[in-house]
Amino acid sequence: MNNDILNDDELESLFSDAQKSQPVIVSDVFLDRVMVQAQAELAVAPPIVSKSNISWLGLVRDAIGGWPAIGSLATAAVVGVWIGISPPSSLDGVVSLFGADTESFEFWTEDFADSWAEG
Amino acid sequence: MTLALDETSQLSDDVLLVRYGNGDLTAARVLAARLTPRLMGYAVRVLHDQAEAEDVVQETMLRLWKIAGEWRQGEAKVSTWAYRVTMNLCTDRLRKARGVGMDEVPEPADDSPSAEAQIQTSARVAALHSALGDLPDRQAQAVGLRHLDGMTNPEIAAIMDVNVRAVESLIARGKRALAAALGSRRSELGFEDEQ
Repeated sequence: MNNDILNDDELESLFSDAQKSQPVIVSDVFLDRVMVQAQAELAVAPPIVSKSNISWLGLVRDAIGGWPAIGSLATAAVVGVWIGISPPSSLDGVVSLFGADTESFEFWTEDFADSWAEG
Repeated sequence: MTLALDETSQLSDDVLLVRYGNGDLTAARVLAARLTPRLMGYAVRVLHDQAEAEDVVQETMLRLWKIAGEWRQGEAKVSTWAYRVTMNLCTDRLRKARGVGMDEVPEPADDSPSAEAQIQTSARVAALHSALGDLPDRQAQAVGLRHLDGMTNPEIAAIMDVNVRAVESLIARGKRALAAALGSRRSELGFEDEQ
């Protein structure tokens, strides 16, 4: 055992003595000084007033599910535009359904107009 | 709304600070009464001077009042923040003082009654503080916060802005250095020689 080095128990007893003998003096005068500063700071920086800083964009964003929903919408929009501009060959059959290959139907025929006018 | 003192005393530190930010001075007084003794204990131990310690703690509290309006509940502990500010202010003062003669550390008051045990305790505490003062700053801070202020290692890590393993290492090295520094004064400190 090395006598030139304190063991753990001896060191702990020193810490314990120091903890017990630490007089923490916080006088009322000192606390009052701290409170004077607290009061002065309140005067400089008035209490926080809740401000109505709610934006309409924020409300819409929250209503549809926040940023993840915005991201999904944006992705869907970009993909939609892209498909419209340059449809992949695999979608040819589908695209033709919405394009020039559809048949038109004339609803407002002259016969119909006459019968409409006669009541 | 200002609560009665009893009710306010039950609130956590960060709630008190936010209440102060909204104009509640009762909350400020409870928070000050809660924090200042601990901060003062640390500052007196490090600076060895009650008046200097009061200046440091007062400055810490002033900074706390200033940031009250921006304090975000749950993000940090008020006591951790306050300890960190106090520690930094103490370090600044020590650095300045070292240029002017840090050897003039006042002896601890020991004009207490003649009980031998009290004299012995005073001598031990003085020796411990002196040995702590000889440690590298970071080791002394970590050992003091752990063994004199009773903080946990994670709390110390937050105050010192390092990870827990670094705190453990600082404390271990600090304690080894203290044990070695005080070992030669074993009998003076009232410890029996080991066989």
